[in-house]
Amino acid sequence: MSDTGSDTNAATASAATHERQQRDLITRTLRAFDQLEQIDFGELEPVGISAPTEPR
Amino acid sequence: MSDALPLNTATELVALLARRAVSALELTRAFLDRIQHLDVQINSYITVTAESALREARRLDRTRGRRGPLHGLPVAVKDLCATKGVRTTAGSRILADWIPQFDAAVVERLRAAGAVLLGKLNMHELAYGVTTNNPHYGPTRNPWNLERVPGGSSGGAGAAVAASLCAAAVGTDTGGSIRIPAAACGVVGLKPTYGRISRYGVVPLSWSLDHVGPLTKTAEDAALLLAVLAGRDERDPTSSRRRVDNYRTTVRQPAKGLTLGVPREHFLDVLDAEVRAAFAAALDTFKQLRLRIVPVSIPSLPHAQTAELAIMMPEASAYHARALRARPDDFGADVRAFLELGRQVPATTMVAAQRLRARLGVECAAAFERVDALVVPSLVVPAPRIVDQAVAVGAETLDVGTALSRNMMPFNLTGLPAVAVPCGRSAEGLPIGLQIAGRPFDEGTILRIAHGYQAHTHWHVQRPPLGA
Repeated sequence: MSDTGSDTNAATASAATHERQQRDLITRTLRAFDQLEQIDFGELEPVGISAPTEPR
Repeated sequence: MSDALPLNTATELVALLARRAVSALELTRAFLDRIQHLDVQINSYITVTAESALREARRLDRTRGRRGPLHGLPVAVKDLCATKGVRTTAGSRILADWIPQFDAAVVERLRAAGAVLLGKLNMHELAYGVTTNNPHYGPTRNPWNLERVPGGSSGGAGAAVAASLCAAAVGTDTGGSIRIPAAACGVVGLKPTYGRISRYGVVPLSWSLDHVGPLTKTAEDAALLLAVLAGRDERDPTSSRRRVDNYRTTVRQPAKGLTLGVPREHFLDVLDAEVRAAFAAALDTFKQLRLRIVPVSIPSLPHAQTAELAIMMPEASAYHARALRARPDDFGADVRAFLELGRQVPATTMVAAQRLRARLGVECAAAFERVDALVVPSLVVPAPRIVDQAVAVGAETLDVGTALSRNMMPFNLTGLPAVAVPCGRSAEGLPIGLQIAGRPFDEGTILRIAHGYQAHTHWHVQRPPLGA
Protein backbone atom coordinates (compact mmCIF):
# COMPACT_ATOMS: atom_id res chain seq x y z
CA MET A 1 0.00 0.00 0.00
CA SER A 2 2.72 2.43 1.02
CA ASP A 3 4.68 1.41 -2.12
CA THR A 4 1.75 2.39 -4.29
CA GLY A 5 1.48 5.69 -2.44
CA SER A 6 5.16 6.49 -2.90
CA ASP A 7 4.95 5.47 -6.58
CA THR A 8 2.07 7.90 -7.05
CA ASN A 9 3.98 10.67 -5.30
CA ALA A 10 7.06 9.99 -7.42
CA ALA A 11 4.98 10.04 -10.61
CA THR A 12 3.33 13.33 -9.59
CA ALA A 13 6.71 14.88 -8.78
CA SER A 14 8.14 13.66 -12.08
CA ALA A 15 5.18 15.08 -14.02
CA ALA A 16 5.56 18.41 -12.20
CA THR A 17 9.28 18.49 -12.98
CA HIS A 18 8.59 17.67 -16.62
CA GLU A 19 5.97 20.42 -16.83
CA ARG A 20 8.36 22.94 -15.26
CA GLN A 21 11.15 21.95 -17.65
CA GLN A 22 8.76 22.25 -20.57
CA ARG A 23 7.74 25.76 -19.41
CA ASP A 24 11.40 26.75 -18.99
CA LEU A 25 12.19 25.48 -22.44
CA ILE A 26 9.39 27.50 -23.98
CA THR A 27 10.48 30.62 -22.09
CA ARG A 28 14.08 30.16 -23.24
CA THR A 29 12.99 29.57 -26.84
CA LEU A 30 10.85 32.70 -26.93
CA ARG A 31 13.68 34.73 -25.39
CA ALA A 32 16.08 33.39 -28.03
CA PHE A 33 13.57 34.41 -30.73
CA ASP A 34 13.60 37.96 -29.35
CA GLN A 35 17.40 37.98 -29.51
CA LEU A 36 17.28 36.75 -33.09
CA GLU A 37 15.24 39.81 -34.02
CA GLN A 38 17.87 42.04 -32.39
CA ILE A 39 20.58 40.97 -34.87
CA ASP A 40 21.78 43.89 -36.94
CA PHE A 41 21.32 42.84 -40.55
CA GLY A 42 22.68 45.11 -43.25
CA GLU A 43 19.95 46.91 -45.19
CA LEU A 44 20.98 45.28 -48.44
CA GLU A 45 21.69 41.83 -47.00
CA PRO A 46 19.68 39.28 -49.02
CA VAL A 47 17.04 37.06 -47.47
CA GLY A 48 17.18 33.30 -48.07
CA ILE A 49 13.76 31.77 -48.49
CA SER A 50 14.90 28.16 -48.52
CA ALA A 51 18.06 26.10 -48.08
CA PRO A 52 20.50 28.25 -50.01
CA THR A 53 22.38 25.47 -51.76
CA GLU A 54 20.99 25.95 -55.24
CA PRO A 55 18.98 28.66 -56.97
CA ARG A 56 15.62 27.45 -58.18
CA MET B 1 27.00 -19.06 -41.10
CA SER B 2 23.45 -17.66 -41.36
CA ASP B 3 23.46 -16.34 -37.79
CA ALA B 4 26.56 -14.23 -38.45
CA LEU B 5 25.52 -13.02 -41.90
CA PRO B 6 23.62 -9.91 -40.72
CA LEU B 7 26.73 -8.66 -38.90
CA ASN B 8 28.43 -7.96 -42.23
CA THR B 9 28.40 -4.53 -43.84
CA ALA B 10 26.05 -3.86 -46.76
CA THR B 11 29.06 -3.67 -49.09
CA GLU B 12 30.23 -7.11 -47.95
CA LEU B 13 26.74 -8.56 -48.30
CA VAL B 14 26.26 -7.13 -51.80
CA ALA B 15 29.56 -8.79 -52.79
CA LEU B 16 28.46 -12.14 -51.31
CA LEU B 17 25.15 -11.88 -53.15
CA ALA B 18 26.85 -10.92 -56.43
CA ARG B 19 29.03 -14.00 -56.44
CA ARG B 20 26.09 -16.10 -55.24
CA ALA B 21 27.89 -17.16 -52.06
CA VAL B 22 24.58 -16.44 -50.37
CA SER B 23 21.06 -16.21 -51.76
CA ALA B 24 18.65 -13.35 -51.21
CA LEU B 25 16.30 -15.80 -49.50
CA GLU B 26 18.96 -17.10 -47.11
CA LEU B 27 20.00 -13.57 -46.22
CA THR B 28 16.44 -12.32 -45.78
CA ARG B 29 15.65 -15.26 -43.50
CA ALA B 30 18.77 -14.53 -41.43
CA PHE B 31 17.67 -10.93 -40.87
CA LEU B 32 14.06 -11.90 -40.13
CA ASP B 33 15.25 -14.49 -37.56
CA ARG B 34 17.40 -11.85 -35.91
CA ILE B 35 14.51 -9.36 -35.83
CA GLN B 36 12.28 -12.00 -34.26
CA HIS B 37 14.80 -12.77 -31.52
CA LEU B 38 16.17 -9.32 -30.74
CA ASP B 39 13.59 -6.71 -31.61
CA VAL B 40 11.40 -7.70 -28.67
CA GLN B 41 13.96 -5.79 -26.59
CA ILE B 42 14.89 -3.00 -28.99
CA ASN B 43 11.53 -2.21 -30.63
CA SER B 44 13.11 -0.75 -33.75
CA TYR B 45 10.34 -1.86 -36.10
CA ILE B 46 6.72 -0.72 -36.18
CA THR B 47 5.87 -3.15 -38.99
CA VAL B 48 7.86 -6.17 -40.21
CA THR B 49 6.87 -7.20 -43.74
CA ALA B 50 8.17 -10.76 -43.44
CA GLU B 51 5.91 -12.41 -46.01
CA SER B 52 6.44 -9.88 -48.78
CA ALA B 53 10.19 -9.80 -48.00
CA LEU B 54 10.49 -13.57 -48.41
CA ARG B 55 8.38 -13.44 -51.58
CA GLU B 56 10.57 -10.70 -53.04
CA ALA B 57 13.77 -12.55 -52.05
CA ARG B 58 12.56 -15.69 -53.86
CA ARG B 59 11.70 -13.62 -56.92
CA LEU B 60 15.13 -11.98 -56.91
CA ASP B 61 16.84 -15.37 -56.61
CA ARG B 62 14.98 -16.50 -59.75
CA THR B 63 15.93 -13.34 -61.69
CA ARG B 64 18.22 -13.83 -64.66
CA GLY B 65 20.12 -11.13 -66.51
CA ARG B 66 20.90 -7.66 -65.19
CA ARG B 67 20.95 -7.27 -61.40
CA GLY B 68 20.62 -4.00 -59.51
CA PRO B 69 23.38 -2.69 -57.20
CA LEU B 70 21.47 -3.79 -54.09
CA HIS B 71 20.23 -7.10 -55.54
CA GLY B 72 18.93 -9.19 -52.61
CA LEU B 73 20.05 -6.77 -49.86
CA PRO B 74 17.57 -6.62 -46.93
CA VAL B 75 16.89 -3.01 -45.92
CA ALA B 76 14.29 -1.07 -43.94
CA VAL B 77 12.84 2.44 -44.07
CA LYS B 78 11.62 4.89 -41.46
CA ASP B 79 7.87 4.64 -41.10
CA LEU B 80 7.21 8.01 -42.73
CA CYS B 81 8.25 6.78 -46.19
CA ALA B 82 5.09 5.78 -48.06
CA THR B 83 4.99 2.09 -48.95
CA LYS B 84 2.36 0.78 -51.35
CA GLY B 85 -0.04 -1.50 -49.52
CA VAL B 86 1.90 -1.29 -46.24
CA ARG B 87 0.74 0.82 -43.30
CA THR B 88 2.72 4.04 -42.95
CA THR B 89 2.17 5.64 -39.56
CA ALA B 90 4.90 8.30 -39.30
CA GLY B 91 5.05 7.07 -35.72
CA SER B 92 1.72 8.74 -35.03
CA ARG B 93 -1.83 7.92 -34.07
CA ILE B 94 -2.93 10.51 -36.65
CA LEU B 95 -1.72 8.28 -39.52
CA ALA B 96 -2.15 4.95 -37.71
CA ASP B 97 -4.45 3.58 -40.42
CA TRP B 98 -2.85 5.06 -43.52
CA ILE B 99 -2.11 2.45 -46.17
CA PRO B 100 -0.64 4.35 -49.14
CA GLN B 101 -1.41 3.33 -52.69
CA PHE B 102 2.06 4.38 -53.82
CA ASP B 103 5.72 4.10 -52.89
CA ALA B 104 7.87 7.06 -51.83
CA ALA B 105 10.58 7.86 -54.37
CA VAL B 106 13.27 6.39 -52.11
CA VAL B 107 11.29 3.16 -51.76
CA GLU B 108 10.86 2.98 -55.54
CA ARG B 109 14.61 3.45 -55.97
CA LEU B 110 15.47 0.80 -53.36
CA ARG B 111 13.13 -1.70 -55.01
CA ALA B 112 14.45 -0.87 -58.50
CA ALA B 113 18.00 -1.50 -57.23
CA GLY B 114 16.96 -4.96 -56.04
CA ALA B 115 16.69 -4.32 -52.30
CA VAL B 116 14.37 -6.43 -50.15
CA LEU B 117 12.19 -4.34 -47.81
CA LEU B 118 12.14 -5.93 -44.33
CA GLY B 119 9.74 -3.40 -42.83
CA LYS B 120 9.03 0.02 -41.41
CA LEU B 121 11.12 1.50 -38.62
CA ASN B 122 10.06 3.16 -35.40
CA MET B 123 10.63 6.89 -35.03
CA HIS B 124 9.86 9.89 -32.88
CA GLU B 125 6.22 10.79 -33.47
CA LEU B 126 5.91 12.67 -36.80
CA ALA B 127 9.73 13.09 -36.76
CA TYR B 128 9.22 15.94 -34.28
CA GLY B 129 11.73 15.03 -31.55
CA VAL B 130 15.08 13.44 -30.91
CA THR B 131 14.52 10.52 -28.51
CA THR B 132 12.17 8.01 -30.23
CA ASN B 133 10.31 7.71 -26.95
CA ASN B 134 7.20 7.03 -28.99
CA PRO B 135 3.95 7.19 -26.97
CA HIS B 136 1.97 5.18 -29.53
CA TYR B 137 4.36 2.38 -30.57
CA GLY B 138 6.65 2.27 -27.53
CA PRO B 139 10.18 3.58 -27.11
CA THR B 140 13.02 2.26 -29.23
CA ARG B 141 15.97 1.25 -27.07
CA ASN B 142 19.65 1.79 -27.78
CA PRO B 143 21.31 -1.57 -28.60
CA TRP B 144 24.44 -0.50 -26.67
CA ASN B 145 22.43 0.02 -23.49
CA LEU B 146 18.73 -0.75 -23.34
CA GLU B 147 18.09 1.96 -20.74
CA ARG B 148 19.33 4.62 -23.17
CA VAL B 149 17.60 6.34 -26.08
CA PRO B 150 18.80 5.57 -29.61
CA GLY B 151 18.39 9.23 -30.52
CA GLY B 152 15.86 10.38 -33.06
CA SER B 153 13.83 11.00 -34.86
CA SER B 154 15.11 8.08 -36.99
CA GLY B 155 15.81 6.11 -33.80
CA GLY B 156 14.45 2.85 -35.17
CA ALA B 157 16.81 3.18 -38.13
CA GLY B 158 19.88 3.86 -35.96
CA ALA B 159 19.06 1.02 -33.57
CA ALA B 160 18.21 -1.46 -36.35
CA VAL B 161 21.47 -0.82 -38.23
CA ALA B 162 23.53 -0.99 -35.01
CA ALA B 163 21.86 -4.25 -33.95
CA SER B 164 22.16 -5.70 -37.48
CA LEU B 165 18.38 -5.96 -37.85
CA CYS B 166 18.71 -4.65 -41.42
CA ALA B 167 21.71 -4.22 -43.70
CA ALA B 168 21.00 -0.52 -44.15
CA ALA B 169 18.18 1.91 -43.48
CA VAL B 170 16.68 5.12 -44.82
CA GLY B 171 15.83 7.94 -42.43
CA THR B 172 15.06 11.64 -42.54
CA ASP B 173 16.81 14.64 -41.00
CA THR B 174 15.19 18.01 -40.27
CA GLY B 175 17.25 19.01 -37.23
CA GLY B 176 19.67 16.09 -36.97
CA SER B 177 17.29 13.14 -37.18
CA ILE B 178 19.65 10.94 -39.21
CA ARG B 179 22.91 12.03 -37.58
CA ILE B 180 21.65 12.01 -33.97
CA PRO B 181 20.64 8.31 -33.98
CA ALA B 182 23.73 7.44 -36.02
CA ALA B 183 25.92 9.05 -33.35
CA ALA B 184 23.96 7.61 -30.42
CA CYS B 185 24.01 4.09 -31.87
CA GLY B 186 27.57 4.10 -33.27
CA VAL B 187 26.72 3.89 -36.97
CA VAL B 188 27.12 6.13 -40.00
CA GLY B 189 24.36 8.60 -40.90
CA LEU B 190 24.46 10.74 -44.02
CA LYS B 191 22.35 13.85 -44.46
CA PRO B 192 22.98 14.74 -48.08
CA THR B 193 22.69 18.20 -49.60
CA TYR B 194 19.18 19.67 -49.66
CA GLY B 195 17.63 18.49 -52.93
CA ARG B 196 20.02 15.57 -53.53
CA ILE B 197 17.47 12.85 -52.64
CA SER B 198 13.79 13.16 -53.55
CA ARG B 199 11.33 13.63 -50.70
CA TYR B 200 8.33 12.57 -52.78
CA GLY B 201 6.10 10.36 -50.64
CA VAL B 202 7.84 11.21 -47.36
CA VAL B 203 5.63 12.72 -44.65
CA PRO B 204 7.05 16.24 -44.12
CA LEU B 205 8.00 17.92 -40.89
CA SER B 206 9.42 21.19 -42.24
CA TRP B 207 9.57 21.61 -46.02
CA SER B 208 12.63 23.84 -46.20
CA LEU B 209 14.67 21.77 -43.73
CA ASP B 210 13.72 18.13 -44.42
CA HIS B 211 16.33 15.80 -45.93
CA VAL B 212 16.25 12.05 -46.68
CA GLY B 213 19.37 9.89 -46.33
CA PRO B 214 20.89 6.54 -45.40
CA LEU B 215 22.02 5.05 -42.08
CA THR B 216 24.62 2.34 -42.51
CA LYS B 217 27.46 0.53 -40.78
CA THR B 218 30.22 2.26 -42.77
CA ALA B 219 30.93 5.25 -45.00
CA GLU B 220 31.42 2.84 -47.90
CA ASP B 221 27.90 1.51 -47.29
CA ALA B 222 26.57 5.08 -47.23
CA ALA B 223 28.15 5.66 -50.66
CA LEU B 224 26.50 2.46 -51.91
CA LEU B 225 23.08 3.63 -50.74
CA LEU B 226 23.51 7.24 -51.84
CA ALA B 227 24.37 6.10 -55.36
CA VAL B 228 20.97 4.40 -55.49
CA LEU B 229 18.91 7.09 -53.75
CA ALA B 230 20.29 10.31 -55.29
CA GLY B 231 18.92 11.94 -58.41
CA ARG B 232 16.34 14.24 -59.93
CA ASP B 233 12.67 13.55 -59.35
CA GLU B 234 10.12 15.74 -61.13
CA ARG B 235 7.58 15.04 -58.38
CA ASP B 236 9.69 16.86 -55.79
CA PRO B 237 10.07 20.53 -56.77
CA THR B 238 13.13 20.89 -54.52
CA SER B 239 14.92 17.97 -56.15
CA SER B 240 18.19 18.96 -57.83
CA ARG B 241 19.07 18.54 -61.51
CA ARG B 242 22.76 18.27 -60.69
CA ARG B 243 24.64 15.27 -61.98
CA VAL B 244 24.97 12.42 -59.48
CA ASP B 245 28.61 11.61 -58.73
CA ASN B 246 30.05 8.13 -58.76
CA TYR B 247 30.14 7.91 -54.96
CA ARG B 248 31.26 4.27 -54.86
CA THR B 249 34.46 5.20 -56.66
CA THR B 250 35.02 8.55 -54.94
CA VAL B 251 34.67 7.05 -51.45
CA ARG B 252 37.74 4.87 -52.00
CA GLN B 253 40.01 7.68 -53.14
CA PRO B 254 42.67 8.73 -50.61
CA ALA B 255 41.81 11.68 -48.40
CA LYS B 256 45.46 12.57 -47.85
CA GLY B 257 46.23 16.22 -48.52
CA LEU B 258 42.72 17.52 -47.91
CA THR B 259 42.15 20.37 -45.46
CA LEU B 260 39.65 20.13 -42.61
CA GLY B 261 38.29 23.22 -40.88
CA VAL B 262 37.33 23.26 -37.21
CA PRO B 263 34.95 26.16 -36.54
CA ARG B 264 35.99 28.40 -33.66
CA GLU B 265 32.38 29.14 -32.80
CA HIS B 266 29.59 27.05 -31.25
CA PHE B 267 30.52 23.39 -31.79
CA LEU B 268 33.12 23.07 -29.03
CA ASP B 269 31.55 25.50 -26.54
CA VAL B 270 29.28 23.03 -24.74
CA LEU B 271 30.75 19.54 -24.73
CA ASP B 272 30.98 16.54 -22.43
CA ALA B 273 34.60 15.83 -21.39
CA GLU B 274 34.63 12.34 -22.91
CA VAL B 275 33.25 13.67 -26.20
CA ARG B 276 35.89 16.42 -26.22
CA ALA B 277 38.67 13.86 -25.66
CA ALA B 278 37.36 11.53 -28.39
CA PHE B 279 37.09 14.44 -30.82
CA ALA B 280 40.66 15.55 -30.05
CA ALA B 281 41.86 11.98 -30.65
CA ALA B 282 40.02 11.93 -33.99
CA LEU B 283 41.74 15.15 -35.05
CA ASP B 284 45.07 13.50 -34.21
CA THR B 285 44.11 10.55 -36.42
CA PHE B 286 43.28 12.90 -39.29
CA LYS B 287 46.69 14.53 -38.89
CA GLN B 288 48.37 11.11 -38.95
CA LEU B 289 46.50 10.48 -42.20
CA ARG B 290 48.11 13.66 -43.59
CA LEU B 291 45.01 15.80 -43.58
CA ARG B 292 45.57 19.40 -42.60
CA ILE B 293 43.51 20.80 -39.70
CA VAL B 294 42.92 24.56 -39.57
CA PRO B 295 40.61 26.77 -37.51
CA VAL B 296 37.88 28.64 -39.39
CA SER B 297 35.45 31.33 -38.32
CA ILE B 298 31.71 31.18 -39.03
CA PRO B 299 30.40 33.99 -36.80
CA SER B 300 26.65 33.34 -37.16
CA LEU B 301 26.84 29.75 -35.88
CA PRO B 302 25.72 30.62 -32.32
CA HIS B 303 22.35 31.79 -33.73
CA ALA B 304 21.81 28.78 -36.00
CA GLN B 305 19.84 26.63 -33.58
CA THR B 306 17.41 29.44 -32.75
CA ALA B 307 17.01 30.32 -36.44
CA GLU B 308 16.32 26.69 -37.28
CA LEU B 309 13.60 26.51 -34.60
CA ALA B 310 12.05 29.77 -35.83
CA ILE B 311 11.65 28.22 -39.27
CA MET B 312 10.93 24.60 -38.37
CA MET B 313 8.27 25.27 -35.74
CA PRO B 314 5.89 27.37 -37.89
CA GLU B 315 6.44 25.12 -40.92
CA ALA B 316 5.58 22.03 -38.84
CA SER B 317 2.56 23.76 -37.30
CA ALA B 318 1.36 24.81 -40.75
CA TYR B 319 1.66 21.27 -42.10
CA HIS B 320 -0.18 19.71 -39.15
CA ALA B 321 -2.69 22.57 -38.64
CA ARG B 322 -5.76 20.67 -39.79
CA ALA B 323 -5.01 17.57 -37.70
CA LEU B 324 -4.16 19.71 -34.69
CA ARG B 325 -7.55 21.42 -34.94
CA ALA B 326 -9.51 18.23 -35.55
CA ARG B 327 -7.71 15.68 -33.37
CA PRO B 328 -5.55 17.46 -30.77
CA ASP B 329 -5.77 14.58 -28.30
CA ASP B 330 -4.30 12.14 -30.81
CA PHE B 331 -0.88 13.82 -30.61
CA GLY B 332 1.66 12.92 -27.96
CA ALA B 333 2.14 15.59 -25.28
CA ASP B 334 5.57 16.82 -26.45
CA VAL B 335 4.64 17.00 -30.13
CA ARG B 336 1.35 18.75 -29.39
CA ALA B 337 3.11 21.33 -27.21
CA PHE B 338 5.60 22.14 -29.99
CA LEU B 339 2.88 22.28 -32.65
CA GLU B 340 0.87 24.70 -30.53
CA LEU B 341 3.95 26.80 -29.78
CA GLY B 342 4.81 26.91 -33.49
CA ARG B 343 1.60 28.86 -34.12
CA GLN B 344 2.86 31.60 -31.81
CA VAL B 345 6.17 32.32 -33.59
CA PRO B 346 5.97 35.90 -34.91
CA ALA B 347 6.37 36.29 -38.67
CA THR B 348 9.09 38.87 -38.01
CA THR B 349 11.07 36.23 -36.10
CA MET B 350 10.79 33.84 -39.00
CA VAL B 351 12.01 36.53 -41.40
CA ALA B 352 14.96 37.26 -39.11
CA ALA B 353 15.70 33.54 -39.15
CA GLN B 354 15.65 33.50 -42.95
CA ARG B 355 18.07 36.42 -43.04
CA LEU B 356 20.33 34.63 -40.58
CA ARG B 357 20.10 31.54 -42.75
CA ALA B 358 21.27 33.48 -45.79
CA ARG B 359 24.11 35.06 -43.83
CA LEU B 360 25.20 31.69 -42.47
CA GLY B 361 25.25 30.27 -46.00
CA VAL B 362 27.55 33.09 -47.14
CA GLU B 363 29.85 32.57 -44.15
CA CYS B 364 30.05 28.81 -44.79
CA ALA B 365 30.82 29.43 -48.47
CA ALA B 366 33.68 31.71 -47.38
CA ALA B 367 35.01 29.00 -45.05
CA PHE B 368 34.90 26.47 -47.88
CA GLU B 369 37.21 28.75 -49.89
CA ARG B 370 39.91 27.67 -47.42
CA VAL B 371 38.94 24.11 -46.50
CA ASP B 372 37.58 20.97 -48.15
CA ALA B 373 35.32 20.03 -45.24
CA LEU B 374 34.40 20.97 -41.69
CA VAL B 375 34.87 18.52 -38.85
CA VAL B 376 32.94 18.87 -35.58
CA PRO B 377 31.63 16.63 -32.78
CA SER B 378 28.21 15.03 -33.38
CA LEU B 379 26.35 14.73 -30.07
CA VAL B 380 27.60 16.88 -27.19
CA VAL B 381 26.88 13.99 -24.80
CA PRO B 382 26.56 10.21 -25.17
CA ALA B 383 22.98 8.88 -25.45
CA PRO B 384 20.82 10.02 -22.47
CA ARG B 385 18.66 7.61 -20.46
CA ILE B 386 15.11 7.03 -21.68
CA VAL B 387 13.78 8.63 -18.48
CA ASP B 388 15.94 11.76 -18.77
CA GLN B 389 14.31 15.09 -19.57
CA ALA B 390 17.55 17.03 -19.14
CA VAL B 391 21.27 16.23 -19.24
CA ALA B 392 24.33 17.79 -17.62
CA VAL B 393 26.94 18.89 -20.15
CA GLY B 394 29.96 20.15 -18.27
CA ALA B 395 28.70 22.96 -16.04
CA GLU B 396 25.43 23.37 -17.97
CA THR B 397 22.13 21.52 -17.81
CA LEU B 398 20.31 21.31 -21.12
CA ASP B 399 16.99 19.76 -22.02
CA VAL B 400 17.55 16.59 -24.03
CA GLY B 401 16.20 18.05 -27.29
CA THR B 402 18.47 21.10 -27.15
CA ALA B 403 21.49 18.99 -26.23
CA LEU B 404 21.11 16.37 -28.94
CA SER B 405 20.28 18.76 -31.78
CA ARG B 406 22.78 21.48 -30.83
CA ASN B 407 25.55 20.47 -33.23
CA MET B 408 23.23 19.28 -35.98
CA MET B 409 20.98 22.16 -36.95
CA PRO B 410 23.56 24.41 -38.69
CA PHE B 411 23.72 21.88 -41.52
CA ASN B 412 19.95 21.66 -41.92
CA LEU B 413 19.69 25.42 -42.04
CA THR B 414 22.39 25.67 -44.71
CA GLY B 415 21.40 22.47 -46.53
CA LEU B 416 25.06 21.40 -46.55
CA PRO B 417 25.86 17.67 -46.65
CA ALA B 418 27.04 16.17 -43.35
CA VAL B 419 27.94 12.65 -42.33
CA ALA B 420 28.05 11.35 -38.74
CA VAL B 421 30.74 8.77 -38.04
CA PRO B 422 31.54 6.89 -34.79
CA CYS B 423 34.82 8.00 -33.20
CA GLY B 424 34.90 6.61 -29.67
CA ARG B 425 33.20 5.07 -26.64
CA SER B 426 32.38 6.59 -23.29
CA ALA B 427 33.50 4.94 -20.03
CA GLU B 428 30.03 3.37 -19.96
CA GLY B 429 30.56 1.92 -23.42
CA LEU B 430 28.25 4.33 -25.26
CA PRO B 431 29.15 5.48 -28.78
CA ILE B 432 30.65 8.93 -29.42
CA GLY B 433 30.67 10.45 -32.88
CA LEU B 434 31.99 13.21 -35.11
CA GLN B 435 30.51 14.93 -38.17
CA ILE B 436 32.14 15.86 -41.43
CA ALA B 437 30.32 18.53 -43.43
CA GLY B 438 31.05 19.55 -47.00
CA ARG B 439 30.33 21.94 -49.81
CA PRO B 440 26.92 21.72 -51.49
CA PHE B 441 26.62 18.47 -53.48
CA ASP B 442 30.10 17.37 -52.44
CA GLU B 443 28.99 14.22 -50.65
CA GLY B 444 31.84 12.40 -52.39
CA THR B 445 34.49 14.32 -50.47
CA ILE B 446 32.95 13.92 -47.01
CA LEU B 447 32.38 10.19 -47.58
CA ARG B 448 35.96 9.88 -48.80
CA ILE B 449 37.25 11.52 -45.59
CA ALA B 450 34.96 9.34 -43.47
CA HIS B 451 36.11 6.19 -45.27
CA GLY B 452 39.76 7.20 -44.86
CA TYR B 453 39.13 7.62 -41.13
CA GLN B 454 37.38 4.25 -40.88
CA ALA B 455 40.19 2.51 -42.73
CA HIS B 456 42.48 3.47 -39.83
CA THR B 457 40.13 3.14 -36.85
CA HIS B 458 38.03 0.35 -35.39
CA TRP B 459 34.95 2.09 -33.95
CA HIS B 460 32.73 1.12 -36.89
CA VAL B 461 33.55 -2.59 -36.68
CA GLN B 462 32.45 -2.92 -33.04
CA ARG B 463 28.97 -4.37 -32.59
CA PRO B 464 26.70 -4.04 -29.55
CA PRO B 465 26.95 -7.08 -27.24
CA LEU B 466 23.24 -7.83 -27.69
CA GLY B 467 23.12 -11.20 -29.49
CA ALA B 468 26.26 -10.36 -31.47
